[in-house]
Amino acid sequence: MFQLMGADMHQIRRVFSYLGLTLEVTKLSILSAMEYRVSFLTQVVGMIINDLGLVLVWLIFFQKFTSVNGWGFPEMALLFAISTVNHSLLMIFARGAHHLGRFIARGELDYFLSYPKNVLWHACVSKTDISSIGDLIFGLGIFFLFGQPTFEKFIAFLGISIVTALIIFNFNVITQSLTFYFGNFEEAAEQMHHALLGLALYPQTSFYGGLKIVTLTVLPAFFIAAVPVQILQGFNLSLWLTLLVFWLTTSLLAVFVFQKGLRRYESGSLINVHL
Amino acid sequence: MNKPIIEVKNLRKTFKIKQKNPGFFGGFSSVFKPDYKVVDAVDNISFSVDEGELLAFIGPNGAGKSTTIKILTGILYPTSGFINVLGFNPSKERQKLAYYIGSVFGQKPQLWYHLPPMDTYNLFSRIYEMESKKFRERLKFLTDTFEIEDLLKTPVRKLSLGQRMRCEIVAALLHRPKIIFLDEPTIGLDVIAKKRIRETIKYLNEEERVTIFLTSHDAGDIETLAKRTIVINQGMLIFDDSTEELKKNFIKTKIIELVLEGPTDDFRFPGGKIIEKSKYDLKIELDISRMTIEKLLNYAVENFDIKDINIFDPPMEEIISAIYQKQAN
Repeated sequence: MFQLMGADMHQIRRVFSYLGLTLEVTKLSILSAMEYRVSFLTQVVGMIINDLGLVLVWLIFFQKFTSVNGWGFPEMALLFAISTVNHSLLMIFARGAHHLGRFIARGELDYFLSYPKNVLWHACVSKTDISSIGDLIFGLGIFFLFGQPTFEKFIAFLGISIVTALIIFNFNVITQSLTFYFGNFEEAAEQMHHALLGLALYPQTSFYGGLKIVTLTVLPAFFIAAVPVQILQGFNLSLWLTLLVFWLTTSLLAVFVFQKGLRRYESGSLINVHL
Repeated sequence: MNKPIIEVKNLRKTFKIKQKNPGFFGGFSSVFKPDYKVVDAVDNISFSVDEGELLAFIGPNGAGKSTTIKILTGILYPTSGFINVLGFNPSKERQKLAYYIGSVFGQKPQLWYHLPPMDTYNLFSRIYEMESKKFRERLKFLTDTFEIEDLLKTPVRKLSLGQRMRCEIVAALLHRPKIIFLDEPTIGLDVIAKKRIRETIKYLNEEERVTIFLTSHDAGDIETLAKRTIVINQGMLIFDDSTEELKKNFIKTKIIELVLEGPTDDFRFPGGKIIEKSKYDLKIELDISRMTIEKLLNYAVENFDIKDINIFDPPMEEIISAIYQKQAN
């Protein structure tokens, strides 16, 4: 019993140690980007303007048409808030997941494999997308402006954003890790990432038939867009459970695909610099 | 007697490399009917390294050096063979092993390019789970030893190559590794920086008793530092003996380049072979077992106005071919 508790405590300490290190690496990435202040600020502000443009289009659209299959501007605003926050969390803390294919194809995993840490974790946290800070600010702003925020709803919003960020993370790890098996899958994985985000930014009630099946499986927009909006509109335990089960399943699949692929890793001789 | 710290027996690593005919149709047909060639990057090699040794592991490009090092550090999985590094199986216990080894790859820096070295050192102290007090003591010791105190707060991109390499070595030593893999540590450095890095390596081995596994294309690195040399070519181990033996048998020549003020037409030195000649430049190959560099330089200084002198070691390929020739005979 005490042994089991000891093992549990060890695991918990390990998780906290990795979380602390994630923050440390992200801090260094941001500091590194801040060495060039003008570029840093341009990226952040530029992203906010870009996001504003997208929301404005829908605002104008819903002034002309009241709804799309039951979805109006409040649903779209929530969708934008969740989508920008979850995507920004992924890109701020684990942009490396989006670059795994490149790391694998160019033999750049060598760097991460030479340290005493989990290689998947290390590769994923090694990069930060600075413009995503703009996404995060924008997403939170939209939630507070149009999401009818309460304390409980804000906590749920954060929880959902984290879980859906982890689902997108898993999606990226799975698709990018296919590079281990197919040699060059970086571009294809990149396209799949954009397709997923594209599908997640439309009214989720618009998808039927084959497209619905796609959003439930290969490009799981249903789980990162439709389910979260429904949960935020009214607490629903079964939807929460659906989301958590999907996250767990994709997590197991991501670890399996990556670890199995790692045995096929062939390294490389390219010269690279840690920026 | 020292005990082996690295043991390798019958190590093999094969890669499957896709073959493609040139041109559009060649590429198109390889999509539907891919053709693969199996290449032995490491072909049945065995060796061991004792604790505290400074070993040179050399060979031409594509010989299998980097592949072997990557297998020893757990970066790559071997196809077959037995490997033991510090009691660990690198392919199964990579993370545990990484706490005890350090690596400096001259062409693959560890330091964050836009940040000062201190930021990377702080991060490494957390990655290697070092106690704060021990980290500070170790850093103080290393910064004093390698004289990098003034560089700690300068962004890495602003450092010279030699300064950066010293900072890279400090990064690899922070966690007190028992083995260090140095891959081309002097690549691209000038003579003074090279000398300094060599002194650093010597210090690590002699004072800190760190086992050093050195790969380099610079025969000077090997002559100055390593007591033992392993030569690998086409994945096979072709020489494993003392560096003295290698020098005596295979590094017999030096290349001396002279740039003269006047024309080279009258340059006739009986003890050396002119291998390249232009109007003002000469490259002379000297067999140092028969003739000294001093005599050549004396002849040059006495008879010509010298603008510049460079002395080179023979290229690695020549040493390898000499080893092959001896084996064939």
